[in-house]
Amino acid sequence: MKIGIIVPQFPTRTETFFINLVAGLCEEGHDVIVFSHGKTDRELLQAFALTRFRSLRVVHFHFSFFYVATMFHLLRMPGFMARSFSRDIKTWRSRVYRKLCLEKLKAHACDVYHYGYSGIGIAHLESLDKLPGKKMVSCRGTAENVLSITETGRPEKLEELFLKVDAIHCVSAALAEKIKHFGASHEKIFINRPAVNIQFFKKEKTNNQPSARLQILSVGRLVFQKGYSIGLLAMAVLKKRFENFTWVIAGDGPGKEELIFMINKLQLTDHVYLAGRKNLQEIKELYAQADIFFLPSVCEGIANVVLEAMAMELAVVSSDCGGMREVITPGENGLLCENYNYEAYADALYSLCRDEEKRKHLGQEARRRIEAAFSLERFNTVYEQAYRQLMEPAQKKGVPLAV
Amino acid sequence: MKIAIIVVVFPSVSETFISNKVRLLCKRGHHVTVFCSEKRTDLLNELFHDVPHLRVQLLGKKTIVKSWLYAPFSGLRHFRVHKSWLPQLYYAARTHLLNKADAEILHFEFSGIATDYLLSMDRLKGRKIVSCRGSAEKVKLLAYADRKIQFRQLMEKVDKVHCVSKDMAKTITPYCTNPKKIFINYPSIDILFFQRSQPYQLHEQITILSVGRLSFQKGYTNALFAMRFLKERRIPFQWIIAGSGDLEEEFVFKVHDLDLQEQVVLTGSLNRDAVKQYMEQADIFYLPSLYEGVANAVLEAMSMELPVVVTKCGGMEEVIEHGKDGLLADIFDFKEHARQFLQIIDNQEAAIEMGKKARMKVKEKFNLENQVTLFEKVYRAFDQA
Repeated sequence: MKIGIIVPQFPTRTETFFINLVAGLCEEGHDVIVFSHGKTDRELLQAFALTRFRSLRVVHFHFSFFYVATMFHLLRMPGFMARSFSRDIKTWRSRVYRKLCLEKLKAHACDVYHYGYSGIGIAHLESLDKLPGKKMVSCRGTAENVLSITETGRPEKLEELFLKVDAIHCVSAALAEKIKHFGASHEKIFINRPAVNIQFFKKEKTNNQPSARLQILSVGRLVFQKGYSIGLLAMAVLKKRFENFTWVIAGDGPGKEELIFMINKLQLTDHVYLAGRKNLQEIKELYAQADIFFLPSVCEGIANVVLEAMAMELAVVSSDCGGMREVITPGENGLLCENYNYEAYADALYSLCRDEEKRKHLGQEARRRIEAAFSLERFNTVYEQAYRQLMEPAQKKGVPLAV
Repeated sequence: MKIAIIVVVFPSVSETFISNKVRLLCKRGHHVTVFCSEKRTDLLNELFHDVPHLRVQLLGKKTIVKSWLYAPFSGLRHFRVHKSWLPQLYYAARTHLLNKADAEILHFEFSGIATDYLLSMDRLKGRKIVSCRGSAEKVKLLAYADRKIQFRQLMEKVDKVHCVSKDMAKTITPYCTNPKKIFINYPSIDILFFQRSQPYQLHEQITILSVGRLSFQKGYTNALFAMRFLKERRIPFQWIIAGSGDLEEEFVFKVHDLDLQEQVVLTGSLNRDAVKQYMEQADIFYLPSLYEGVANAVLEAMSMELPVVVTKCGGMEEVIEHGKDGLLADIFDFKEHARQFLQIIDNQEAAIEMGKKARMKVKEKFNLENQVTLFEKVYRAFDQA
């Protein structure tokens, strides 16, 4: 099969989802073309060992109007240039851009076009009908949870998108339930939860001296969805009962000023450390050093970082948001707290801080849970099956594909 | 006197205190030149059509280029050889334009702007004053190390430092080697404009009003928790927020997520007349901020005889006497915020009394005349020295 995957940027440091998918498909012997809006970082491709695949191609939607080739190409279609003309230069440019994107998509004819986010699907909405193959879109969380509320016109666009595509992938059952409000029909939806590389994220015996302070770790961009400001309120409550901890936050983003201010205001300067952005190896080391993983997010599809932390046998305290309940069975392989309830976070953290046995037990169970249900093999099999089913329309439709 | 005021936008919808000050200074016979990088012509005509001695000079990139066309070498004597020569060229031309106004006093209304002028500060004629009003000092100094160094240099180079509250003075004192430079002048409002037309009374459905940009400093997340607390107690209420900002997405999402769509109304940013209209209708004014210099919106609400619930953030504790002319609460204790709403709702008499005292306080301590007189005094002190 020839599969086209359309994403804003490939590969990215933090987004392992598509890297896993691409690697899995290539290993199965499929041809994969990644259409990316941004430029590709060669070093990253190598870092993720993607250069070993012959059947992988990365194509860019990158056109400059100064390139002779692009100019020549545009001159050959005067009809389109005239039709698309608008006195607003930006509108015209975006129309031409979309047309050029479509031509590129068509030039590399794929059996399945897979839009990596519903947002990017919406950006290509007009060209969907004109593409030869089957279309699939992934719903990952943010775009459907947040933008559908905050951006006017977004729900209508989502509805149109879901009507036009042939299959809709959701990262969690909670999200699948959610997008049904936007007219996504039941037959099109399939659930494939994210996966984690359990060979890489594996606890190793280390000679590390256990640090004097208990380490709580969070990983994720500093944006409001991650709920760090609420997490800080929890830390302030925790500090009153238990002094001996450090909260390390790995990530960078627009919310940094707010966090720095709040850390000072809540007198947590000795207890919270903003570590900045880290690469995969560094993050793994952080997991290895940490005692507890903390996810105070207000909204998530399924947080990959939690899967990684669980694979590293960390005890997890997570907010009960999005699909997190589908990963964690509370009390068994992690702890779940009511969303936004920072006192509950503090309680859960406190109970783990005081009880090393419990941390160890939850960590081991967490690893077991990940091995059983979130391995890459399962992830890739479900995707392949989904692609195949799209290609064989004769097969009976409506068979749920989900795990 | 010839006074130069340096701001970013003039006149700005949200920063009426600058417009008010300029207007009054002009009326008292001073020649004021306002330097800004953005001019709102429509507002300027509306607010200042009857004001004498006012000149507004743009300092944007366009103006600078134009000034080079007319007089190519005019700014060159301020030019210094430096590895970043293009900004230097820009600074030189800007210095020239500022010096041409020949003002005795240069007042930078925000320390952030003054930091931008740091490199050319020595070449500017006249005495320099910088105002410390909030964000630039309370957050940026914490977050950026180089900002700290720049701020220290700035404190060295200016002649006077204006702080909007004692708390602000305390915040910047560690950066200032000569504390004598610091003087406090509380902000002020136009009490004649912010005056009720009808007597205050509580409505059946309580309207809580907040005015301020949607940014993290305003503490709206915490406020939403307070609102949820009220909703759980089945209080019929509405919370109106007048303001817009870059946190709109976060805010709208959280309103939805906490299931408060029916209670929370976001109006977008409003002009002075609309704000007054909302204050006339409101039952409680609420400021959930994490930090403030002194929030003008609270002064306006107090002037409108509203009972106010305000967090203990920075300068607000100097404005409000808890229980007498307003209510103060701990910043992050949203339950306390909610309980104070209930306290106001339960006792209309006390609320009316509080509102009256609030207006008296503003009239006495935060009116425009006093503030401008104090500024004048500081300006004149240079003359005599």
